[in-house]
Amino acid sequence: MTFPSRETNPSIETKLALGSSIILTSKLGWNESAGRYVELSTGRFVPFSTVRDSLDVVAEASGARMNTLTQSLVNEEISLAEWQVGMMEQIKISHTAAAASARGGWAQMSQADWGATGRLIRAQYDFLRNFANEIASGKQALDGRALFRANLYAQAARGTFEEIRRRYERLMNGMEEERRVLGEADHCNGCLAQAELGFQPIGTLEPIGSQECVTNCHCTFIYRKRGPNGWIVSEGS
Amino acid sequence: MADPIKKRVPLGTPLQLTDEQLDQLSEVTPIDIAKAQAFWRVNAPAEFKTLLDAQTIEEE
Repeated sequence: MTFPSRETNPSIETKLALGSSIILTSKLGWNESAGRYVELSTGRFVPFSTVRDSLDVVAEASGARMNTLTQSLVNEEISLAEWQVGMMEQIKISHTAAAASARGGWAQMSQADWGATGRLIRAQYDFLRNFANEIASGKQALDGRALFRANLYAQAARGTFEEIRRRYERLMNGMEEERRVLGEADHCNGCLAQAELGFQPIGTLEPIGSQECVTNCHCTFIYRKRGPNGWIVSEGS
Repeated sequence: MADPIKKRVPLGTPLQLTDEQLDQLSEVTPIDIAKAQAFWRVNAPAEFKTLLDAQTIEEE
């Protein structure tokens, strides 16, 4: 297999990763039974909407990298294979961070969680392989449409966040049902139809990012399980 | 003096990755985690740069 080396020009992440083993102290903790981040100074839960917003900022930064890479490809500054390697690196970075943010941080990620994350990354790699083949065949024009399509890969990190959270709610928190909550954006027909289904057995609704709005989807899930006094709802926000 | 006109890089062929190779490449390794940690710290909003360094707290 020909796999271009990027060792001569490693990214800032590679330099930082190889050059340090810094352990930072967070002002936040993770409450495993609640499945929520906690402000250590106040004991208050951090809203998941805040965590999602932080991930969106990181995903945007990743999207900017992907945009730069794709623009370099359009400008004939790098080869298709080099672009593919760079895109794969960014996909893995953004989805790895998305998974950890959904699961309560790096320390809470188990081998099984990493396995689940790898499967989500694998799906993105499949899409990227098709993208690269379509560029090579000329089916995908190398213009603004390619830039738009490349950016969808960064946005897909939101879907990984929701899938890893869904996995936690099912396996660790015993949640039985899920409901799609529409995001603060225009909604595609698929998302509207999914939301209209209301609560359904967990794992049966279509994943975030699977409808017509693809990775631009800003929907989330909320979950519930039966308790001694009725339904216990895990806030998605 | 250097040539101001940049040499154009040929598009070339895409990486010919098999399903098995994609399976292997999609596995998350310690170096991948370190890269993602660094990327988060550099790019996350200031108040949440250490969010993912959270540790599990004991419930009272």
